[in-house]
Amino acid sequence: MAKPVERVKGRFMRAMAFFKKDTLEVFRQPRLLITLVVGPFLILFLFGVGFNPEPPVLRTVVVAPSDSGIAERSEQLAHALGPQAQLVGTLTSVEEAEAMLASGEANVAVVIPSDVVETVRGGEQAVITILHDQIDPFESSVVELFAQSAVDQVNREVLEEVVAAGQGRAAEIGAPLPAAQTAVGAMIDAVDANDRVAFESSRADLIASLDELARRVAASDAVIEAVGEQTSSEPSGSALDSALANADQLNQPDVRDERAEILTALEQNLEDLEADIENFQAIEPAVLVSPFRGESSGYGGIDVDFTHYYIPGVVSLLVQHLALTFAALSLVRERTLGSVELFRVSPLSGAEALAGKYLANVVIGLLVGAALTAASVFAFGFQPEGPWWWYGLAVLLVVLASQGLGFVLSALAKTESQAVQYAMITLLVSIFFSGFFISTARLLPAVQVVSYLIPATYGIKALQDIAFWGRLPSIEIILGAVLYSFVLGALALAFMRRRVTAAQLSRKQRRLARAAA
Amino acid sequence: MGDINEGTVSEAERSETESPVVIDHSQPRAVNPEVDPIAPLGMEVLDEAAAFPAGETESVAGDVVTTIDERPQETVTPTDSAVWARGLSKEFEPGVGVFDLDLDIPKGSIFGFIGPSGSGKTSTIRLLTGIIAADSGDLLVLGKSPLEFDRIARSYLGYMPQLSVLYPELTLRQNLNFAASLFSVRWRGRRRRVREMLDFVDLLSARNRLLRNASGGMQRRLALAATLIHEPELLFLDEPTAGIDPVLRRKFWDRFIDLKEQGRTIFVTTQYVGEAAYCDKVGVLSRGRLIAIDTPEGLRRQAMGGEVLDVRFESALTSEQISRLVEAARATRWEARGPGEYRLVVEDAGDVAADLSEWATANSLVVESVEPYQPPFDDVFVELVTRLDVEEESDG
Repeated sequence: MAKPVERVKGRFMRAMAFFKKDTLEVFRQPRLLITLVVGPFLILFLFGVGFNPEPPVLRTVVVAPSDSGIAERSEQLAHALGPQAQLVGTLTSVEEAEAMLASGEANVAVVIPSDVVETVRGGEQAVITILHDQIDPFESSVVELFAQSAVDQVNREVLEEVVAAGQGRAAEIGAPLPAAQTAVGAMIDAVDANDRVAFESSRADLIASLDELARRVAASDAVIEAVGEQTSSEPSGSALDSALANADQLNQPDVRDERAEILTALEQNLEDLEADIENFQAIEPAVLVSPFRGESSGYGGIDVDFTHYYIPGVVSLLVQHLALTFAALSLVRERTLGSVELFRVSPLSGAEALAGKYLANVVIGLLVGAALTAASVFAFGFQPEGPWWWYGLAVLLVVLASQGLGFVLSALAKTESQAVQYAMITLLVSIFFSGFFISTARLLPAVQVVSYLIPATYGIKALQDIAFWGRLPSIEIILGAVLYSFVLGALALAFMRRRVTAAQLSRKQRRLARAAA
Repeated sequence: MGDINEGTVSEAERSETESPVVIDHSQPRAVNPEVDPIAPLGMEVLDEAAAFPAGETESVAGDVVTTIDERPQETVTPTDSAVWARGLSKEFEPGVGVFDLDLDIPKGSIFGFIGPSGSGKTSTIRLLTGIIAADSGDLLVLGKSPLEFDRIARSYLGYMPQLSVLYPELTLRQNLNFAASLFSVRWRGRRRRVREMLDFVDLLSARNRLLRNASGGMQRRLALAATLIHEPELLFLDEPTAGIDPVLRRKFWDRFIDLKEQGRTIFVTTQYVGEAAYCDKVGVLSRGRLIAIDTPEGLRRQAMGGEVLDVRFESALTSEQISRLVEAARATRWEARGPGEYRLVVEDAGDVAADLSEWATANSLVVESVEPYQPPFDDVFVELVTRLDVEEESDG
């Protein structure tokens, strides 16, 4: 019997023969390499470089009645549609606007209704109509989003004007305040002099002044209070209300001994009110109308550049495409060439051939992955947050998983062109379902199953975690990729055994033969 | 690839059960370069082939032969043959395949398999090498059913397919290296071995040429080198000389004869009927059936009905004289080939030649020449196939 060491040597020798042969074959076909790797890379590179994240210019016309004040503010209104809106005209009839849309002279028409005041007075909202010529659902939804935003902007501007007008009259609001403060001072003096008549007279002045103040302040103060309620904070309360309550309290017979304290509080209430009015005047109308604004930033200070974001996807996708195609092609080629006939007569086993092929594809896949990453580093300044060896392992997993898929696909392909077609279909499926363009989370759960049948899905998720978060991919992704590689590898082995192994007796036949012997 | 019998037989059992058919590769082959010019010293096949595993079903010394279907086991006693088959059949579709092949190819011989295209020559090789399984029949190759070949058994085989199966993107040398690895030729000494083989097939100077840039003839030569690289004991060569020039064809056959003299067995198919002359035994295949199997001379006899003698007289014979000539020569057939020239099919050309001289003298006839005629194998082949057709037609 052969010595175990010799058997291992033999197996190693045959596996290495396939490794060397497959590697040489690939590097001897530069056109194939260019077609499979450089071609798709250049396409994606051009796309990445040429893609403009800014929405395209929208030529905008505003349709408003000639007597409308809005017509004069068309530029402002168009600007409210977003930075992409470019005002190309102000019209008075919708028909004109539609003609411009039809001829392509305009992309968007903002139609202001003619009876705004009457409609609002009637308790209904006036409708601003946005017409556009966008047929791309994505662009269409972008226009609708901007349109809604523009209408909100118009509403805000109207409110801001109202508030600004209110602020302009704030001095008038505070006019009764000095009289109230004088009355409180007189009441303090009357209490000190125990002059009941003077006290009542001053109290009557105070009540009159406070009522006048209440009438003037009510509208603007409500705005501030409403802000407090919307933010669920404690309502600040109105200094004026407190002053009115304290003034009422002075009329009670049982507070005679506490008048001095109540008056001191009242004096404070009026000072607060004076401060409130000054504050109200000082607040920007825009802040009063839109007290909140949003600011977003990546958690942990992560700010992923648009181009960098796609690098893990490009690397995963291309490495998958290459490993899968080479694996499928190499087996189909051997079948069409007839080499499998020779293998079946030789001592070669399926495992040896597969080991050699896997090794060759791993080397080629890692080299291509390294080249793509190096190009990304030098061209785009890409630098993963996590260690490079994690990054390398993730690429290795993609190569292993993809090869298994390639070998299985080769079982279905009868010719080399069929193998290439299957590889291209897989690439197409991967572009849509692997999370390259749209997140897999946006797919229905049932469809996400397709995503996890694609090696690049694991690669993209793993590389994004490593490159942007600097963390190890989730255990589900790692185990998923490993399991995927094993299952596909086992299928590939079964397939390879069938291919390179000659006809053999079945177990039953062997058993019968032995029994007969 | 499953190692069917590996580990199933102990060393002691193996030493008892190993048959004479088994080639002992327990030691690296001792090669004498004087005897074997293509096997320089130091060329070794990995010790994987250290022992031909002799499982319960593979011994040929009076043991049970494994049948390839599940019929009751038939006890047969095969001869000391490299290839032995009885009733071997494989039908691919009704009427297409190989049927009832009986083969008995001694070790150390060249067996030629001749037949027209599509007659089943390649299918037979695929059956004998275990690439495909037969539907029925018994088969032993090197004492073992091909369906039970393990990697060690396979290392004794060499197979040259009909078409080039090597890699166009590799150089000739790299292709040969690949074939050497496939059959576990040790790295030590391999370089020299590869060089020798390239030299043998006149490809040394083109060793760095890509196969796709090599001519058809070069590709056939390389395929032969790849088949011989591991010094197989039994070679299956499927039309090795197809598409190559006559000079190289002759060189190939010289090489095959050398290999035979080294004790190797060669099973070779060819469409060049004339090459049958180089074989020890020839099988003629037509429509999947072996219609004749014999030595080249035996085939001639079968085809012509005996030996052929050309007799030329000084002048043309009369009908009566011809009748007496046929009677005197005990000819089974005759043919007039010109004035005074006759071709006779006789039992023994040597005996008849001497008798004819006496007969001519006694009958006052002058014989200018009496020569045995060797009909070309093309004629032999056509005759055999035509005869089969006639027989089949008469059988209805």
